[in-house]
Amino acid sequence: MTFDEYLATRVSALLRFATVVACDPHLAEDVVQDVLVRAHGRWSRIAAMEQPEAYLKRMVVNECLRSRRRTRRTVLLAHDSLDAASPRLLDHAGAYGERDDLARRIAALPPKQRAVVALRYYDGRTDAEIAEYLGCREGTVRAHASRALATLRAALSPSTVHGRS
Amino acid sequence: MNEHDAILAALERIATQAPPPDRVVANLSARIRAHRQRRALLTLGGAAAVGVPAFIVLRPDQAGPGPGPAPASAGPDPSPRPGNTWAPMLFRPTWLPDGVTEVSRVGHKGDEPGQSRIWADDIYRRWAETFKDETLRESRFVGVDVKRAAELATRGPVSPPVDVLGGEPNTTVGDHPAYVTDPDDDLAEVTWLVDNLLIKVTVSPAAGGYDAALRVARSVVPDRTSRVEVGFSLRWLPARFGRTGWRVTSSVTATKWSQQLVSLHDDFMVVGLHSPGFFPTSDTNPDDTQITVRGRQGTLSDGVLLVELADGSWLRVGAGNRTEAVRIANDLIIGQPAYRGWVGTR
Repeated sequence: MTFDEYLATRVSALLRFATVVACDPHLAEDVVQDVLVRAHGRWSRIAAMEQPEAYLKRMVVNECLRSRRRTRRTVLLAHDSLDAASPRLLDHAGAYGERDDLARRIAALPPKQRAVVALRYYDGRTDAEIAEYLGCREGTVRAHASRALATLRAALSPSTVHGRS
Repeated sequence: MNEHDAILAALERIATQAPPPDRVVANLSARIRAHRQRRALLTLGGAAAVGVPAFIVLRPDQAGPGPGPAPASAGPDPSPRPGNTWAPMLFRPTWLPDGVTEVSRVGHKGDEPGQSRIWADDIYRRWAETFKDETLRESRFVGVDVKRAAELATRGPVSPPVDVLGGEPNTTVGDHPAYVTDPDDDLAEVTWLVDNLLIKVTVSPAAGGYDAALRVARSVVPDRTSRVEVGFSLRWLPARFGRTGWRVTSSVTATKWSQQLVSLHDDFMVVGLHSPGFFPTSDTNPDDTQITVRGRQGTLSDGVLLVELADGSWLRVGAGNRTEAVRIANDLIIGQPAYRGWVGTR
């Protein structure tokens, strides 16, 4: 796959992934552009990898975490913005409020905890894979996940936490 | 809906706010080009801060050495000359890759310690005159930058200093944990902390990249004898600049030089002395305001004053407004030729 082919077919997915990790569309846009600029210079090596997209996502995660550290930005998705992103009428009333609160709690998580949540739930990565992404031990990943879930469970109804539909 | 599904639904909802891919793709070409220039400009220290090339045409007697063995260090710098402004250098490498000599120094005058030094080859020097990307990739250059680790100043040293280094420490420099960037990156960077000062060594791929960066970093020692000097001093400044620090810069290529003072705090201000030919008269905009400064005809455009001095060099002042720029230029003291014996040495 050439760089241009990647842009044409996969950049949308990369932007969505970055937005989930950053919980900030503006930061996500900056990060993805930075990552693609860097990737462009060594695309032949990236394209030859077994999983080029996984490599780019790892760059996105690391860049998001670096950007957070550098700018100390605390970004919470605005309630109005969340409303605009998901048509209320298409949602079940009860689940809507829960998901809305949950999204804001995810946005408020510490960056590494949020990255773990994004990689585990949105990207479907195992703890071992997440550990590789973040350059830490699996135990550290599980600790981040545990703390994150403890925070998020406060936004979930008992039936949701216990897996009942 | 179970816990997993609820979290996934929330994440999917966040994902819907992703920016439009068309916009990202549309901006990418410009970003790729800008990125390459920025990465290189960052190593130019103060030059990047003022947004203009910091290199101008050197007179033959001022030019650095041509190709060939680089001379050894010029030794301790002489005392600053009367009427000039100077700042100390803080660290220097005792090992450098072949083919590079010093071309740029930036120091801080005031209470904020800082340094940016560059050792580079002739390709880099030529690139710095044209800023054409393709030649930069082939060039050898090494940067040694130092700045105060601001975060540590308020909360004390932490271990490991991930926040400050930019990543998990993955190597050491002396006894200090250090972070070295992905060797696949365009430039290899090593960062570590010494007494709340963040030191960063940058090495281009052509100069040895990752391996050379680590070797340079591990050779860095305090430098108590080197300075950067500009051939002028400021006699008047607006009151709001009374407590500001200044970045003192001096840069050369094989044929060009530039010296500047750039404000570190408060409002932005830059005062520079540039060699003849740096601002070609063909670039003059007929819409610029004509103005008399230091008895000579100059121009004023967008708050930037530019005047050619009697010896052919250029004085450039970027200040808050016309009145301030003119007074700064008129009151400024032109000192003696600044010491640049360090140019072309290792």
